[in-house]
Order: sequence, then C-alpha cells, then structure tokens
Amino acid sequence: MVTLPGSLASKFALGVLATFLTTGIASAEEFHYASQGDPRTLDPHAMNEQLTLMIQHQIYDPLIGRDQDLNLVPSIATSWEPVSDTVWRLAIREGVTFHQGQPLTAHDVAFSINRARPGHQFAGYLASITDVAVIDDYTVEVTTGAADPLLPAKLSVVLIMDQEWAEANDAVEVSDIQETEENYAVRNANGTGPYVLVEREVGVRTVLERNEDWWDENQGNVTRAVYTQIQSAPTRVAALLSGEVDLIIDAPLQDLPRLESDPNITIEQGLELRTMLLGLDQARAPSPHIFDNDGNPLDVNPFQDLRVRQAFAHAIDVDAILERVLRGYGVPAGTVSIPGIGGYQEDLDVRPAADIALAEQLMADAGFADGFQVSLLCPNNRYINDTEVCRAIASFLSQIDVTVTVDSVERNVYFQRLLDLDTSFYIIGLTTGQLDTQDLLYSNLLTREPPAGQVNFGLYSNPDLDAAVQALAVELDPDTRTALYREALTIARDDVADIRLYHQPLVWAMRSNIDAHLRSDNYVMLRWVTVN
Amino acid sequence: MLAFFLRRLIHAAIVMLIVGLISFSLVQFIGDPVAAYLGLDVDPADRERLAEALGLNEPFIVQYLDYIARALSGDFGLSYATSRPVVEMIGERFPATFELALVASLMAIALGIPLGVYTALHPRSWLSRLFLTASLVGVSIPTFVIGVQLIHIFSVNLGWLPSYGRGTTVDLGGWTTGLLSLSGWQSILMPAFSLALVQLTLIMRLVRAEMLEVLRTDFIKFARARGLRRRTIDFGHALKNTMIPVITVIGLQIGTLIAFAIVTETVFQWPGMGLLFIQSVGAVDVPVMTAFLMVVAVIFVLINFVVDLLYLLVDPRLRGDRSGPVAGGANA
Repeated sequence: MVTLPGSLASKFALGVLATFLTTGIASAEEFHYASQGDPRTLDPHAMNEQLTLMIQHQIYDPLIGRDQDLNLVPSIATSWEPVSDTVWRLAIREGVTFHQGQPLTAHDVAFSINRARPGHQFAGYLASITDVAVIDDYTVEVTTGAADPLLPAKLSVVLIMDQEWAEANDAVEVSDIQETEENYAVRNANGTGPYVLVEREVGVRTVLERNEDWWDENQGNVTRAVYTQIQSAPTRVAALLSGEVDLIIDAPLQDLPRLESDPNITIEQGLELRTMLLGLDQARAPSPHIFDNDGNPLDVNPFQDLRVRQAFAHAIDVDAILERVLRGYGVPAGTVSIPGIGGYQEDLDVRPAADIALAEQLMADAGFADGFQVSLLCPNNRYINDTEVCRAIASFLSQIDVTVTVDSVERNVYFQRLLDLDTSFYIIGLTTGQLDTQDLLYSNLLTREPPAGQVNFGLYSNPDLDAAVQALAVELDPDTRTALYREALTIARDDVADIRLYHQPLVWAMRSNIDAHLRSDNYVMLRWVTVN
Repeated sequence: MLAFFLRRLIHAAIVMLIVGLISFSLVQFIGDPVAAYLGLDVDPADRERLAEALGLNEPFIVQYLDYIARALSGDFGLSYATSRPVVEMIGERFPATFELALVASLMAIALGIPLGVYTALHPRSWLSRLFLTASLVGVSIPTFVIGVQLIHIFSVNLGWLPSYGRGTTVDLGGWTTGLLSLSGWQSILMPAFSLALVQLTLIMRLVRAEMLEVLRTDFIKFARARGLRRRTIDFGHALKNTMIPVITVIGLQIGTLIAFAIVTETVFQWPGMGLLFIQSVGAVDVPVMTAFLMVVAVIFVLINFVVDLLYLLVDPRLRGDRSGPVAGGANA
C-alpha cells in the first residue's frame, strides 16, 4: 500500500468526506428577489395590489388556484360545480393544515370569503355572492344573486385564512384604512401555502422559508426566499449584476441590452395582462379639455363623431411606438381582450392600419380638416415609459392637425383627475383580475353606473353593448357565451369605443443559474423556482 | 441665560406652527389619499364615504387645528398605508437616518478640517490645487450620480461593498444600529461618503478661507514676531478663531443631512426616514408626510439651539454678552 504524503492524504480524506456530506442531504437554496415596490400588507383580503398579492400567494393558498398558464386548477377547493343556476358547490381538500398547526375545514373557507366580501378592495369581485353556507366539514355552497359564470375565476382571488387564528388575534375584520389600531394580520401571517413567513421588516425585507408539510408538491428547490424592495432602478440592476439579488421582476427596458450581453444574466420576456389604451370623452359637449385652434373651447365634441375616432386610430402607428419607445417589446392590441384570457377572439384582434392619408380623409369628412387642440392626460410614473408613449402619440396626431398637449402628472394626481372625470382624452392601462373578456368589457365600456363601467372614464355608452355584456354576465352555456363575446367585441371595435394600443411587456431579469416560470400576472411563484 | 432659553423656546414654537401649516397645505397638491388607497376600480359612493370618515371633507383650517391639537398630545395618527401609528414608523426609521448622517458628518469633518488647514497653509502647492479641484468636481456632480457610480465601481465591478440596504443590524432595546457589525459598516460606507462629499467640500473651503483671513491679521503677525512656534500659531490661535463659522455650518449641515438624505437613501435603499417620506408621498400617506416634515423642523430647531450654545463654549468673549456674538476677526 502506498503511503501518501501527509497533506495529500488529508486533502483526499476531506474530499471524500465532502462528497459524503453533499449527497443525501438536501442543499439549502437561498433565493433573493427584488422589485420596485414592497408588499403593502400581509392581510390577504386587504389590498388588491399585484405585488402584495404575489407575496401573500406564497404564504396563503387560494380557494381555486391557477397553473403556470393561468388556467383554473384545484387548490383548497378540489372541485366546484353549479348545482343550480345560482348555487355552486365546492368540495374542500382534506388533510390540509395551517403553518401553526390548525386543521383546515370548510368553516375556514366560509370565514375567508365572508371576510373578504365587505372590504373595499375585493368587493367588486365578490359582489355577486349573496350567501356562503357550510354544508359539512369539507363542503361549502356559495349562492349568487343571479347566475354568475365567472364565479370560479372570482374565487381564485380569495386566500384562505384560519378562523381560529383570526379570532385568537383579533383579526376577524379585514384590515382597513379607517382602523384605529394596527390589525394583527398586517404584519403576521398563518397560511397553508408552500412558504412560511419567517421575518417581515416593512420596506426592508420579507423572509420566507419552505413549508415541508405543504399538501401539494413544491416543484422548485428554494428553501429560503428573501424579498427586498429596491426602489431605485439603477441600484436594482446593479444588485442583480453583482449577484446580491437573483431575480428582478421589473428591469428597465433601456438596461436590457446590457443585461442580455452579460453571460451571468438571463432575460425572460412575455406579455403582461395589461392593455394600454386611449380613452375618449364621448358624453360631454363641450368637453373640458378640447379647444379649437385659437384656444377657445369647442361647443361640439369631435370625439362623438365616429369618423374622428377612426381617424385617431388610423393616425397612430403602434408598431413604431413599440419599436422606438418600448425598444421592440410589447404586442399591438386591437380588441377589448388579451391573448390567453377567457373569451379572447383572435380574429377580432386586429388594429386599424396606420394610414395617415385615410385619417386625414376621415377628419375632413367629419368637418375637422383643420384639426383642433386637446390635452392628453398621462401619468409619469405608472406605466412603462408612459410619458414617452404619450409624446409619441402627440406627434402622430399632429400629422392630422390635432395639437395634443401632453398633461404628464404624478400617478396619484392622475388617479384623482380620472376619478373626478377631469379629462377629455387620457391614456390608461387596464387589466382583469378575473382573466376574462367579460370582466374587461364590464369595467371598461359598460355605461358608467358603478359597479358597472368603473374605469369607463370616457363615459362611453352604447345600449347594444350594454345588452350583450349583461346577457353574457348571466350566461352559463359556452357556445352562447362565445357568440355574445364576439357580438360585444365587434360592437366595441366597429364603434371605436376606445383606441386600443398595445399589451405591456413583461420582462424578468435573473441570474443564469435560476429557472423561474414567467407568468403573465407577473407573479413569481416560488414553487416553480429552481436554483441550480 | 433664562431669558435666552425662553426666547429660543418661543421661536421654536412659532417655527413649528408655521412648518405645520405649510406642510399641511402642500399635501393637497399631491393627489387624493382615498384614490391612492382604493385604486381606480372603486365605487364613487365608497370613495365619498371613506373621505368623509377620514375627515377629508372638512375645511382646511379645521383639519389643521384638529391635527395640531392631537399632535400636542403626542398623537400623530395612523398611517393610511400601513395603519400603524406614525410615531412608531418614524421612530423605527430614525436610527438609520441618524447613523447615516452622523457617519457622513464625521467623514466630512475628519477630512474637511485637515484638508482645509493644509490648503490654507500651503496655498500654492500642487496637492492643494488637486484637493480643491477634485472637491469642486465632487460638488458639481449630483448625489444621485455619485451614488450610482460608487455602486457601479465597488459593488458591480469590484464586489467589495453591498449595493443596497443596511446590512446586519443589532437591536439595542429600540435603537437598531448597523455600526456593530462588519456588514453594517460595509453598507454605510458608500451612502455616507456620497452624502458627505458636499459637506466635505464646504467645510474644507470654509476652513481654508477663514484661516487665510486670520493668518493675515495683526495678532498673528505679533505672535510670529514674538517667536511662537508655527504649530502653536497655526492650530492654537488661527484655527481656533475659524471655528465659529465652521461650527455654524457643520450644525446646519447635520440638519440638512438628516432632512435631505432622501436622495441617498433612495439610491442605496437605505431604510431611513427619507426613504419613508418619499414612499409616503408616492402613496399619498398624509399622516406620515406631515409628521416627517414636523420632525425635520424639530431637528433643525434643536440643532440651531445646540450650535448657539457651542458658540458660548468656543468663544469666551460671548459668555458675558447677552446681545450675541461680537464681530472681531471672526464672522458669525
């Protein structure tokens, strides 16, 4: 037997030992991710905000889940069936426990739905529900006022909380801005989800650890996840480049070429479920922000003429905007729907062709050959390159002699002006939490009588469209639904109810050793993240 | 002395009331807090009801007086965004900003005064000229740009220092400090330096200008003629006489650092009051915004008070005199 020199022998021994230690023991994989915002609360029924819900979805499970392609799949509810036009029966999964040990039953499900219903943020989703009944420990029946074909989609936003825990910690009422003291659920959580809350420092970090007793299979290998807010975009990108952070969900578009050229960084891109569009005041004559070329208020409203709306649609070259302003990202939109959601009709998703000559002709036919002046209300910190897009739109419209003043304001001022209807022409990005065309039509274009037409700030009103969408809202038969979808979308298109521009791009930047599934709702689901 | 204290107290109260009024009135220009909380998808009736419940429909002066009345009893309300007591939120973030401002001030003083003395004593040396030019460049570049450049060099390229955050902090019964851990010191270096740069230049040039002036005075000439050592003249006599304006500036600058570390805190994601303020503006979180502005006013008032006390310490001529500093070689 050969005697190895001392140092070599010890190195050999260490190597053998190391090999023994690393195989057979699951390695601890820590995952750091960041974005511009911070979750506003941990109370799952308090805030309908994307980032907040994203973090909560790791700790709590929804009643009905969504898979990687956003299809509805069983989660806490294993099945859901309409037993009549207005009653749905849900079977609740057995053998699920909360992180602190309490067993999950139908009572927790009923409690959670009822907790979310009266709150400000989810009232719109759950407005159709009139009653939630516990039939037995693992069956719940939900009754709606009228037939609601989208109820399962609506229930997918309800995260399940433990009734016992809520009662023990005085968190039975959902957290609300009017409260006089902090609700326990704002900074503490007890869910059934794949990750347990370990640490929550508001505005600094949220730390989650893998729940080994989760009822479902965690396909990723993340054992510890740390979410940090990094508000400043250059710092966020720097943190990714230096390796301090493994994934950022909102890389600035202008940094993407730099990131792509780095061998340690991968870019994943897709479509966000958010359509950018222009709203036009079609109710008021005169309209507050439309003037003639001398600056005097116009007593007619040009937007009430279909030809003017068509002219605008033809004048704006969305492909050029996507190419130049969004650096090649984003997809043009031509319909009140988004690829991949319920009711989307691909053949109807065609934008009017960019054609200045046609636009000029239409304007002349409508009697506005000399154009007019209008203000475009635009946020400056809400959407990707929002002000730049607005300026591009203004320059396109100048080619048909319409002088557009871009009113670029801070996001909250923008919200306020929209809600006060203090605009004649605005840009906005709208999404659907129910992932269905019906929801978009209902909130975007129905005659504004809240809850209908909540974001219809142009006050578009078309009785034919209203009738089609109201019929859709209570129609359960799929074929009839398709016909109604098509009818409604065609009306909206032919009447140029608004000017659809493009669907916002979604870009995640991550270290090359990370595998993360990019989902169109911009949620990083840790269960599908692998650290290699 | 008692008259001095009383006068300062009255001044302070007046400043606070005015700042409160201004910050309260500014708030109406940043958007609707109810809309910021509820989002766009909201029933107008709901929005109206919430505005009513939060007292936002009352006339401005009623809201202001109500706020002052509650503030006097220590109740600054709950944050609209987090429903936590505002006092708690600001108190939580204060240590981070304070430590940042403190380290930045120490850097500025520790580098600024020696450099100022050197450039005053050797006005024509190449090293002096280098310092003066470099400092001008540092002052002309915005803090934001300096911060990002530092991150680029030290975090991305060299990987020596973290690009964001405060590192590991230790909780000393309410005061979280980052100065007791290695990662804490690594994290504070770049933000403190980018914050210190402007103050460093200011102190350096001020010390230099003051010393150059003092070195030309008669009593320095007489001291030299009498044969005192260079070191005694330069530091014992010349430098001491420059201290009043320098202390004034340092005092004001510390207040500025605490109040306006906003940009640095945003760049480095430093969890201090400044970052909290910026975020509350973005969320139209009125209680937090107003409280922050009041806190800043208090800090300035306190610091100016301390600076005035320090005058009395440093300049013996002032101790017997109630009417304020006497001009004589040094300007106040």
